[in-house]
Amino acid sequence: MKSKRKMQDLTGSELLDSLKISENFYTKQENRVLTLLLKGLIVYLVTAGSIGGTLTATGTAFNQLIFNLVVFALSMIIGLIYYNKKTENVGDILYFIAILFFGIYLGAYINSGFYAWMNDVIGSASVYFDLPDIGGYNQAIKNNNLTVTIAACYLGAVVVILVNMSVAKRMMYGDLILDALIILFLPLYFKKEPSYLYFALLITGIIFAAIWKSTGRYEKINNNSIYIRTKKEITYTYSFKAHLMAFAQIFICIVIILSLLYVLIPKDKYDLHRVNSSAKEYTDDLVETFITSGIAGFFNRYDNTAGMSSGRLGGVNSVRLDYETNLKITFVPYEYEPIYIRTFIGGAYQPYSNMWSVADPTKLNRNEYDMLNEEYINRNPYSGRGKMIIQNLDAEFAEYSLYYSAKNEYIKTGSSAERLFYPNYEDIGATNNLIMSEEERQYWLSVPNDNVPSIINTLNKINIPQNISALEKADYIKYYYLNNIPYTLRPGSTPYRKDFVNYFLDTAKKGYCVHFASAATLMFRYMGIPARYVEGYVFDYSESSKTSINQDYSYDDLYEGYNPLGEMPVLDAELSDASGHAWVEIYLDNFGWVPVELTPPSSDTEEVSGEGLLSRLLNRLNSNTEIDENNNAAGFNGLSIDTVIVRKIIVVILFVILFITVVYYTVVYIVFVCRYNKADINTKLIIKYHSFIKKKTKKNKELLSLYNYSDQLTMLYDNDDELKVLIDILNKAGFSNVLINDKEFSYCMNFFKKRR
Amino acid sequence: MYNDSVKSISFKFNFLYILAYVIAYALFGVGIFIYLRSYIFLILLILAAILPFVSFAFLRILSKSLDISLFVSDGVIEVGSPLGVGITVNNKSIITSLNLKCYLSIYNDYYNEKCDQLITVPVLAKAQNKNPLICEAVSCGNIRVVLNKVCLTDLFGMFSYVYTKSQAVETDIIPVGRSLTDIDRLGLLSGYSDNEDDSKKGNEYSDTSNIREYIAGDRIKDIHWKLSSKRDILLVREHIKTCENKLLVWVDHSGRKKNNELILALTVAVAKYCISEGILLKLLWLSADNQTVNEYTVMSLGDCYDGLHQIYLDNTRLNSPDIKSVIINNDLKTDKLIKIGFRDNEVAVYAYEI
Repeated sequence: MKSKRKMQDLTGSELLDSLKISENFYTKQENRVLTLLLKGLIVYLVTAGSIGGTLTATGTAFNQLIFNLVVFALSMIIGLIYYNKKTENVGDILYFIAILFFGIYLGAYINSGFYAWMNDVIGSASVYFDLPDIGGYNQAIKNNNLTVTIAACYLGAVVVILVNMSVAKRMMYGDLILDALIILFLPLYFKKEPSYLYFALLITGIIFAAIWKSTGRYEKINNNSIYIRTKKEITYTYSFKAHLMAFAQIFICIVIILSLLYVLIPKDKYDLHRVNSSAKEYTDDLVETFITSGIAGFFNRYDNTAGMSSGRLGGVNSVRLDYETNLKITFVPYEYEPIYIRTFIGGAYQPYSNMWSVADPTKLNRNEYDMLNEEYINRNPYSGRGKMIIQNLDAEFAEYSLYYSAKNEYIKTGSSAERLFYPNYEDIGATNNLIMSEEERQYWLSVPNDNVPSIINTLNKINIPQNISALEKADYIKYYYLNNIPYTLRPGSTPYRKDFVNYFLDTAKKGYCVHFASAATLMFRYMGIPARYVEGYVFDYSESSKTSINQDYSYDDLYEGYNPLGEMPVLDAELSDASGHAWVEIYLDNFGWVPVELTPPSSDTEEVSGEGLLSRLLNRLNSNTEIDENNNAAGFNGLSIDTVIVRKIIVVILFVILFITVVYYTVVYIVFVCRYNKADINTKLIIKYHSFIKKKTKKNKELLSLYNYSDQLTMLYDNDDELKVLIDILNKAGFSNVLINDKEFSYCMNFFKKRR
Repeated sequence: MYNDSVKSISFKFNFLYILAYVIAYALFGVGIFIYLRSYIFLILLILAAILPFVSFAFLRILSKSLDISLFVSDGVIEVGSPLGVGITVNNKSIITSLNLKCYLSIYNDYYNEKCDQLITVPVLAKAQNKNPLICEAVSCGNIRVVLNKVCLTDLFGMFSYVYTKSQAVETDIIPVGRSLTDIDRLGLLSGYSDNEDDSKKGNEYSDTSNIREYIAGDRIKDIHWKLSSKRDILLVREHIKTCENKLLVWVDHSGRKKNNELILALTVAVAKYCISEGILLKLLWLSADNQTVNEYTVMSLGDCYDGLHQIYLDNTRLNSPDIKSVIINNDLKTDKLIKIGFRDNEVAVYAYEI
């Protein structure tokens, strides 16, 4: 966009027909060198502030004195290059050649310096993301202090060009802010702050540039004249003394204020109360992926529900839950245990590809179902049969099989289906003679060689006795997880070329259900217990909130036979991705496949977002609402969604009203100010008078019935000489063509002020 | 101290930017600032909230320590010579301002010309700086410069104080004296000769202004014999030439501006000639009502310039009147005068007989 040129030279000579400005007036010239040096100073402040701030923020050691001297010298040189067109062209070319030369000559140092700095950035990232062992860059030259100093100087040499382009001709302080932000972005992202000194330099530079810009005399005037005539005014183009004094005062002022603020609001205290913005959480994934996996990480990403994606593993840094309903199930409770609904059953684990292949269908027999069905037909007293209606509202296209049901068709999104199932109560004894074929057993015991060392290492740590049952072994693993590996929804993605299970067990040592289930499956298999990795949804009475009693179905419609809970009401339960889960199934001889829960409870705390007043208000409201919802859910009274919507609507309306009001009054004020400034002195006085009387009218309503200045004023005050003069002036201003003079205006204003 | 009352305080763009930033941050969070939630952005927010107060305090201090005055070149300024008009800013505080706007009105009352001019100058800390606007007078007249208003912006460019001022300076632009042509001299002498005859009759001295010691060369008839005898020292009378029947110079500046300039230049030339020749003259010009005549006795060049000053101020460049009737109506005791005016496409000295 073409910028508005304020200092348009309209040098003209005539003031009056009989008086013109002397040509000599314009021949007095400013010292351009001093101007350029002062602009160079801004370049230095911004460049050193940004780069120095970045390096100090990441804790990178470098020689600050040399860095500052070099950047200062370069800033002055680059500033002076703009002396005239010739120096600009030649100077730019020479400067670029010099940069190229030093880039080649000091290439090894510069590379090593950048790597050293990048390693520090990665270190900051690993602290921020709580990532262990991300790795870094190998530096050819190990002397960090030297290499970083050289690299910083070199970066400074490049940045001064960019900064000077913004400063020299147009004083575009907005660009300076942008330049500084780009350079400072990485450390700031990882909650690393620049040092006080560099921050002060940067802010002083930007503020001084903004002030200089606002004066309108930042452009290079061709004839270097000290004075110039523009459309509006005769103005000085530049005063080195004044600008230097202004700079000194601004610098001192900023330093004093910043010092006080740094003392009064210590950074440590701020860090204690700082919470991430919700917006930032969305980008954390990308940044973390980049840090851990590089650019390749972006190509290994996929959408996921609750961190699951049909057996694909480790491609996401963190799990985000939208809490939107995915499934709706209608059923009769038939046991206290959680109800598992399977969507994916993993077969063989593929190391480094980091995924579970889909289980071989030939190995997925339904022997339990067949046997339980037979027992039910034979009217075993402990046998029961249930029916579950599953509505796929917004979930993936999957089978949604239950323990224990026949093979069924997949349920599409937006459709529903019934699932017939038989609970396997221990007393039934239906599967007492259930034995897995050797072929199947071998299939469910396969462990990739790449994972064996890690699995052995972990099992050695767990130290599971040999002669205990599979379920007891499961308990050992569960307690090991509980005590050693915390649950988190933000475990970080698996770094490029690392195996998911090995990385989880040996390095990251944190994760969510997918991690625990995958590793445990391989551990069970290694111990000779057939096991498989399963994804799906789990309904838990103690955790599920969106549950209500269904009035459309009766108990008999959905359940027949033995029910240890007795005759229960029919429930509707809504399952969101918060109910998404991964677990392990182990095969117990004489019983069949059983789900085993090994994932430890979550230790993540919910973060409170607070990016603005509105957001905070909404969040507060939402949190209140959620409490209400929970209370309602506990009593199975259903959720009063209407209340939530109404509240949100009220907040939005109030906000819109507030916003419109603010905008309206702002516009009215601006229009008033514009009109007032354009008005002649008579109109100005009348405006002021009306404003004065309007305030008085609030206290004295009788004024509303009076229209003359004299009537209004004599009602308010004694009719003395002062008032008579005022009335005369007002009458003159209001009803004559003669302009009042400034003294009369001031007289009236003083009167208004005194009697306010 | 700058004692004028504050007329108004205005907000500049820098303040509005900062205000917008603070409000936007408080209400919505501004883009990357809220996104990063950095400590330095919090510091920036507070800095932005504090700066307007600092800025305003600076403005208050500066406004109380500031003295602004106008100046204009001293001495005789002839047409074509440089004229220095300017603003002196005396700042006793250590606060600087990059924008002091002075709203000037520049008048030439003689030609009824006016222009408003805004001049922006810097204010240096603890310094008195003169900001001259070097001009060149193109034509005659009374140049009057009035400082109407002053707008002082603070260092951070957030606020402005606007003061009303009523300070004025003025100076006269004098025409460049030209030499008299033969025609001018002829006109002048023909107008003067009769008057000189009158003066020779001994009527020119009417009043004694001073008594002083005799200096060689004084006329014998000026010796104050009576007083000299009392004091035992020769004393002579000094006379004021108050005779109304001396050379009357009618300045007819009723024509075009170009001709007026020539007429005024010729007037000065005539005055110089007369002064050098020891001839008394009286400048006459028509007053604003077009009926009465204003007059100014010229005994020195200074008187001539003062006379011109009066002419400038009267500003009655009306149609050329019937001079004789005006003279008679105004009971001017003369039967001879010269007119400096425009006739027959020429500016010259014309003799009149009344």
